[in-house]
Amino acid sequence: MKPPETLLQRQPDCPSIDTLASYAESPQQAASLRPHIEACANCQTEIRLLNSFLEAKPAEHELADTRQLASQLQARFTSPKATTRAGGAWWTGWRIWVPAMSMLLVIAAGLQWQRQTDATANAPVYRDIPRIEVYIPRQGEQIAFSEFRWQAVPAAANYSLTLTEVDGTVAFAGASPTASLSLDAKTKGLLLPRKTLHFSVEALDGAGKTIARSASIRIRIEPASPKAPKTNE
Amino acid sequence: MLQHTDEELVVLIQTDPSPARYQDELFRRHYDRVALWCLRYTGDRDAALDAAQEVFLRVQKGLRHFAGQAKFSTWLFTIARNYCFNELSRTRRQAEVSIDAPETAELANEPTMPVDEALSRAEQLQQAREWMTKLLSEEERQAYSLHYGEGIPISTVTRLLGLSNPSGAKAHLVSARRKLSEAVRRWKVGHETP
Ligand SMILES: [Zn+2]
Repeated sequence: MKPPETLLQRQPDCPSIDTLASYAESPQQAASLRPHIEACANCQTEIRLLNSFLEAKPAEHELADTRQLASQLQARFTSPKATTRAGGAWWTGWRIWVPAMSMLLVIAAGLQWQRQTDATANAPVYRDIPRIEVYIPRQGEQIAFSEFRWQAVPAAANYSLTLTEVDGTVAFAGASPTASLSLDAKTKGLLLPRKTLHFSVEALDGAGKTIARSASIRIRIEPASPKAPKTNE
Repeated sequence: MLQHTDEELVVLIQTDPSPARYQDELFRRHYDRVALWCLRYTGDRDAALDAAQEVFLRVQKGLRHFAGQAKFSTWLFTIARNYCFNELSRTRRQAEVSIDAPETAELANEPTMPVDEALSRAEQLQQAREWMTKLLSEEERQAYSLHYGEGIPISTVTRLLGLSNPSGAKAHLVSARRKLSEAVRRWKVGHETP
């Protein structure tokens, strides 16, 4: 007997999701698809999911959570807090692979700086300063992670570093006169497997005014794949 | 900016030297639907926020390659769907096993779509589609293909399909299996060689 699941998944004769979308929008115009869709549970399911996605009608019990999530997303992605470079979120998908049991962590990263050139305007203007090389651990690389490091800004007297939870709660705030910050035991304790944090740093001049800041960098700690236990046979 | 379609905003993001405001507007239009999708998929507000952020990060990354033949909203759906169904489900499935364990165990006693191996794959597919279309209700069919085809946990299927009956997708899966098993039994009787 063949594995039955394969009969229930998308088949080579199933139209693409774009084609299904055009059928869902105007069944008359895409009438040639009707025989397949009427016979294919998979395509019917895709259309139903697509429609419920597009309609986005929360049920009563989903309303509060949906609203809160949407406003958190807006706070997270609206410029200037988010990066202003279109499609240029070079740090997206950044993964730090850390052995789950390791307490020793190391990473070196240069940051993309954005300088606020007009602090008085209602809508601040951000200008990208040339990108700095980033040293990102390769996927699966066994590394120790003990400090954040970023590119020095010439006029900076001090740097302020923040780690925030996904909901925007500040998990850690620290300052450093140099372009790096060693993590203490308490901060390392925040870097738990599967946890997502956002890391950002600001450069301050002698008067404490922000003269440059990094993009908000998403950090997700991926647990190392567990080693198979040894067995005595 | 409000007069621009999503697809026009994408072009502006790709070409304008100050694209941030266009991206803000484009994303603002879709926060609700991605939030709701992720909430339904994960069933948990914190996990939904994490998933929704990942979806928008992927959109941000992929925007420059968005060709514009497709609708932006369909592309966004594909990203959200694939992220949840393929990547998130891999890590979540294990965690949800304990939640779904009693109902899954109960449903796992029989093969899911037993089709005779004497049939070719194409014949099996045609037979499976015919039974599902003729014998199952719309909800049974969709719950069945999401749970057994995509491996989506029962509780998640219930939320994704917005099922409001007390036992959610489980009731539809149980009745779908009963109908399909009966169809297979009758098919075998009709095709048995004396
Ligand atoms: Zn199909």
